[in-house]
Amino acid sequence: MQDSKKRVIFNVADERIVKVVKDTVVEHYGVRAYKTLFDGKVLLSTIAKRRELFLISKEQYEIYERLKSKGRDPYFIGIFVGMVRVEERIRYRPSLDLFEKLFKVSRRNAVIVTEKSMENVLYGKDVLLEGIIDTINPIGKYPLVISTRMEPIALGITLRDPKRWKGLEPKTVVIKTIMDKGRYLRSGI
Amino acid sequence: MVERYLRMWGVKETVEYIKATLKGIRKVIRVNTLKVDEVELIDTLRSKGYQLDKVWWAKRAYWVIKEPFPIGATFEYMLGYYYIHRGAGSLAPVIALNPQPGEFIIDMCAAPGGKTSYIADLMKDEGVILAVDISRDRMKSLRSQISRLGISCVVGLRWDAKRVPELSVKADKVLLDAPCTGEGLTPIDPGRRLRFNVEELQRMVSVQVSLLEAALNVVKDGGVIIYSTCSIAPEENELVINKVLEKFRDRIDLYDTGLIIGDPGFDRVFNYKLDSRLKLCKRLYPHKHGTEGYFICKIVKRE
Repeated sequence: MQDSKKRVIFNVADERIVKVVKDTVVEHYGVRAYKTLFDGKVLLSTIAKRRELFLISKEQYEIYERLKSKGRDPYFIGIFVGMVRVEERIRYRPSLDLFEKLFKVSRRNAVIVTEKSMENVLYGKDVLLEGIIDTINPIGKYPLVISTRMEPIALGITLRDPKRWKGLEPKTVVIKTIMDKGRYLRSGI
Repeated sequence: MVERYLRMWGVKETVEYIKATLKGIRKVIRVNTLKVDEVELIDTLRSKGYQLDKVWWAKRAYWVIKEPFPIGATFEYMLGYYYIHRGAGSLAPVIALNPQPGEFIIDMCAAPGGKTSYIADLMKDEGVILAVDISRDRMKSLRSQISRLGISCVVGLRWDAKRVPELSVKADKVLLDAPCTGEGLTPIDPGRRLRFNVEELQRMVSVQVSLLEAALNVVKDGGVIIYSTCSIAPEENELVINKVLEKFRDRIDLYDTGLIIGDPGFDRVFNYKLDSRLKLCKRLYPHKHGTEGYFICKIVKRE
């Protein structure tokens, strides 16, 4: 009975979505990192206004197809690579899981923060200019926030052009935190 | 409960077991080597005041002897450098499974993900794990853990594991950590002593047999099934395996689990004479092994 009510929610992502994801990844981490992570893989998308995206291997795709043939969908699969909002234009917001893996391949697009700033970020707070020790350039729209030991702790969105940070007040919020690792404790699951 | 223990073990061992359940057991952290170097992490945690002792029979696992603040609230935990097991017993089924990179493994009752993530680590995140669980809430938890630990080889499926054969897939190995009364968890959750009842036990046995039959249908010829429970009740363990051995006598064999810890399974209990191969199974106990009560059995489907 439950099966008959169930609707299919996963599909292979269409080309427009694949392109937007590729452009964003290449812009932030370069072609080599994109190829390392995405070559030979398939991008899946859920069907909704805000779609979740998952990057899966060929072997996972075989299982996915088997599930589809029986009218089932995975609950999750592979690497969660972010969300897209499909309206007139496609808006993609990458995931911390993906950017963490990309950062391992290509050391760029990250801000190194102080211990105090790190604690704040892990409570979901934003990054102030005074909390930034250094940057690993180039910085894109979605920089990783990392510890002094190069450990990714959050993904943010730059609120101001990094080239103009120098002239700002120390208390200015320069990166808004959109996903941080403190959520694993806060969510309680 | 005690009456059954007396029939199983006699007075001396029953008393030792009950004392151990009252004392509790140590939790364990398992290093996630997909994200961090084991030595580096253990050094870091020790420098923060944690006293950790290596679990001598399990890869990447450490007993937590002393914790200056909860080990689940560290920066390293948030980064996904380790997983916390409530007891070391839950490591044993995965060690017996012996996962290898590139394999296709089905974890039939996967959430909240301790065993799934251990399998992924031992597989170096290469291959596929089909992680099945029926509970929506527990599936959420599984997804969260898989994300925290940075694992990518998992396909999470919320479904009744008994129906997995409908997918017509054939796995190299299957882990069936079956739902059970949890009788072995009394050292962690003493309240279970009061919740245990025979009706629940009977219901569980029927589910366990059905799940094991499903596991036999999804493992390839020559493939391995690890059947385990966190129960010490023979009804949920040896008697379930004995029943399946009788039913599929020409299709399956029992093998040594490869575990270097544990007592042998019962081949005679409550006046029942069982298949002698059940001695190849392993039983873990708090009073003997410092773990929660656990049962592990390795079944191989004939070629």
